Amino acid sequence: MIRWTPSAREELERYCARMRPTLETSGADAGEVAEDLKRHIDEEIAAAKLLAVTEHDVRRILGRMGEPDLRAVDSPAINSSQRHEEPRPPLAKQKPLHLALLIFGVVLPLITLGIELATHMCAGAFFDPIPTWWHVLLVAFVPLTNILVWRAIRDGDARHRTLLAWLNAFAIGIPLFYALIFLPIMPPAVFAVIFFGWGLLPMSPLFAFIAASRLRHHLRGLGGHDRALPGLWRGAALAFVVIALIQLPTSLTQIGLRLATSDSPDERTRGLRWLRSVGSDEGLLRACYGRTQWAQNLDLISWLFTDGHPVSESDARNVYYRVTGRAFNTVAPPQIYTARGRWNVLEEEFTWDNDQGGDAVAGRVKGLSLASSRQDGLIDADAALAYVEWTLEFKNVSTLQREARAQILLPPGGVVSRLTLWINGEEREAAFGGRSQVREAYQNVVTQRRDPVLVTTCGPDRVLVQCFPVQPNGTVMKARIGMTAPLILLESGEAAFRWPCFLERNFTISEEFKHTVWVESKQPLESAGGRLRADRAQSGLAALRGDLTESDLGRPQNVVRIRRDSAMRQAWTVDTRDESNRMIRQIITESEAKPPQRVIFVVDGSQAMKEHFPAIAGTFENLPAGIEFAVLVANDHLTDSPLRVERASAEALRRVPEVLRRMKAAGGQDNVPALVRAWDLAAESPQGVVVWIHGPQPILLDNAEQLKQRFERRPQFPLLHEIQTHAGPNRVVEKLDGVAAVRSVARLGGLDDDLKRLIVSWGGKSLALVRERLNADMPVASMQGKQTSLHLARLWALDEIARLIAARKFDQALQLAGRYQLVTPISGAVVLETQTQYQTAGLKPVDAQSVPAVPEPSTWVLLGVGLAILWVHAARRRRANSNATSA
Amino acid sequence: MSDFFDNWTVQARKGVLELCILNALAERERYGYELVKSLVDITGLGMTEGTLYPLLSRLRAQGLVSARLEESSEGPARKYYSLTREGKKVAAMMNDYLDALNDSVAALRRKGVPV
Repeated sequence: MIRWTPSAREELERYCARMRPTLETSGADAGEVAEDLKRHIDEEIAAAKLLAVTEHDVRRILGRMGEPDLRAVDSPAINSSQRHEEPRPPLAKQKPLHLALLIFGVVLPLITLGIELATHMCAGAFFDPIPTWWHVLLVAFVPLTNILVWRAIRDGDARHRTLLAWLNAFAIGIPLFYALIFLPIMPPAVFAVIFFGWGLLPMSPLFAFIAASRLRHHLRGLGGHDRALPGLWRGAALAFVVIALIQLPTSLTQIGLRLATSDSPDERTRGLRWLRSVGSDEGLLRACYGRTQWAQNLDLISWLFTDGHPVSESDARNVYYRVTGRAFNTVAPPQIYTARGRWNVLEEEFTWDNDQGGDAVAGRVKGLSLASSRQDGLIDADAALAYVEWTLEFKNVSTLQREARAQILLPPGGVVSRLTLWINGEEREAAFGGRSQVREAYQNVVTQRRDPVLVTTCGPDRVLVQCFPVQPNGTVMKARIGMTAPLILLESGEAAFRWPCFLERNFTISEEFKHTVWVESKQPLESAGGRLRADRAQSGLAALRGDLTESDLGRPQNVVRIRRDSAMRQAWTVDTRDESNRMIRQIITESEAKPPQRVIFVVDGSQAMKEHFPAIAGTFENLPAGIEFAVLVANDHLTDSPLRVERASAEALRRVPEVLRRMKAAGGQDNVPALVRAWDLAAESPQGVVVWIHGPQPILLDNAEQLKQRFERRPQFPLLHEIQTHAGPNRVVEKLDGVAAVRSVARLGGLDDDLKRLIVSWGGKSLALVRERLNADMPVASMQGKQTSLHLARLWALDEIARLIAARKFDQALQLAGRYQLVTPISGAVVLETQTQYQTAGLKPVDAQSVPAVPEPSTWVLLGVGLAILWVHAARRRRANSNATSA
Repeated sequence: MSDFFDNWTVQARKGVLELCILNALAERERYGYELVKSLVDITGLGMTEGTLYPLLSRLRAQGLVSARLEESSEGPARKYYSLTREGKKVAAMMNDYLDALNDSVAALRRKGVPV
């Protein structure tokens, strides 16, 4: 290491100071030349093998090197008139400006971008300035360009002057745009800076714009040039064009949203078409999460496109469904936040579940999942009925109490007949009462944050289950739902049973999760899709068991098929819930089916239905000849399409399916207007039927009251057979809960198979289960057929309750539902934590001895009694034989 | 007469000084001290060592040469200069031009008319 004496340094500095004006005028970097000279002297000293540089050495070496030949280093770019001008002071010399440009052009924009990305502060309070990653890149471009220009000026590096000029022009355009859209926030920001010392962030675009402009000024003089820099206007204009292109999907979506929520039906249709073709799903989704009034008022861009009339989040949610065919809460929330009022913390741990205690399942709740699920079923094939218990455990890993909510699809024709909740490890049975009574009791207890569970119906074969609270930090809540259901008679010697499954839920089920199912019967069981394994239960009964994924559970392929004795046409039970222990009898009747005179098919025209159109079209060939029929497709053009009700001729049955096959599906369609129109057409015939083939209906787009009124007021005909393509919520059917004319078609196979089964049932022989309560004086000995469990009485009660509701005898229906402990359209089941809570609610929990179980207690009693009778009979015969022998 | 010749040589040197530096770097990269030593001895160029560094600085600012520092086992860190792509292009053009000019001047000397 060569050491320089202080005097040697001073000598070199003196030399450089003397040369500096000459060097700068020549276009050389004086600082760099000084460094080079020092390095040269070092080389000389090192070559002489000296260790120190003295003033003498410096003077000697510099003297030998000679001063720069002014004439030789004269810059060709500098003409004689400029040579004597004062050179422009380099930026590095103007320390405060140098620092200010770095802070406001680079540091502040980077800090602002970082804070917005990390906290979404502006997005949460006003509007989202960086809604996409393209915006983020664009904004980041400004400080990055500024630092490049700043460094070039500092180093006097003019090599990329032209390129930097273009970049700088582009970088001037970006903060200029942002400064304009931040303009409404600027006055309060200035106020905040003056009086409180904070609020710089909203002014960051303006500062960045000023800094970039100043940097351009210095860039112009870089390298001794004083020529104008190229591209200011073109670069800035290009920045605006790029911003407009990035903004285009959002802007088009906002225009489409405004049209789709217009009062004019034509504009609405146009808006939907617009959004389906050019709209941004992401932009639509953001609109679904709403924004604050502040945000609305301050978002100049949206204001431009919406004429100052922003679209509400509820309207946006409807439009989202109509455009995409999916409910907004079935997809992940937008990744980059936007101002959305109470939704702005959706992804945070402290998310509040706004639907807690309500009657909507709503979106997924963070931290809540299904921990275990088992179904235990018992089938009495002779009596054509089944009982299944579904035991569920919910786990909550969040730090807040959660409510688990789910809609369950019951086995066809089924009813919830038992509800149990585990409280502190003990089983607590439910109280059955009026629907509003049990809901009120539940809501009261939810408010107190104690353990209740509630089950109410939400449409044919559908119940809503609510459990609260699932305690935080990994605590598990366990509940059991017992369901009684008739078997579906496929033919006299075969029946089917379908597992209950979830239609909608607010908790997570992992992809690896398996539902454990086990069903037993005296008769052989068969898994329709072969996914379940045959087994033998301890009691000697045939069993079928397996593990099913969430998607498999509701699949028709996993239906259980049961061979039954076709000669067994009757079953009976002693109704112990009846004061006089009357008997309930069930008869399987076979009769000539009467086809409906007119059938109106309503086909959901939503996007998800597209794949099903061919299957639906293929079933029309099974229509009985001569029947009047029409097909209505629920789509945007419903009101435009002329409708022909025609007789099922060969020509019509060839033409109509072809039209259906070519039909276009789009978005999510409102099926209610089509159903209303179909009812009106079907009602013109004395025995009209509406067949509604549809996908899940997660959003009710139209008021269903006019539809409900029609079906309520004429409970006999027209009938509505609804058949849903796959598991999912159905808000229309929810509104028709308890309406006798509305029937769900059981899904036991492919859509075409199930439709065909429905249509074929209108012709030829038809099997039906008829249940009746016999007179008190009917002796047991006179009963024929199979004696079965009390479940038969429950199914009879369910029929009777439906009849009473249709006759508007609600009190009697409610009384019956309470006595048989059933969840029906007018009654529900609730488990409360304490006796006091039951008393306060005017409810009484059922006796644990009176609830059904797997297997039903009475079955065991009957088995025991039967075995005892056989043993006594055999003993008597043995005694009689021995007497005869001895005689 | 002597002044005229002096001025003319200055003008002539001025035109080729930068070309000499570029040509010196065309073969390989060189560190400053080495470059200076190789150029000061060229006959007729009359370049002082003190002139070379400002020229190198200017050529670097113009993007024709680039520089990098490298530690040296023999002494202080060395600043190596090399031609940039632009520098190579410019050097080639300058050489072509000078060759053509020389040819023209030589031809004029021989025949008294331009080629």
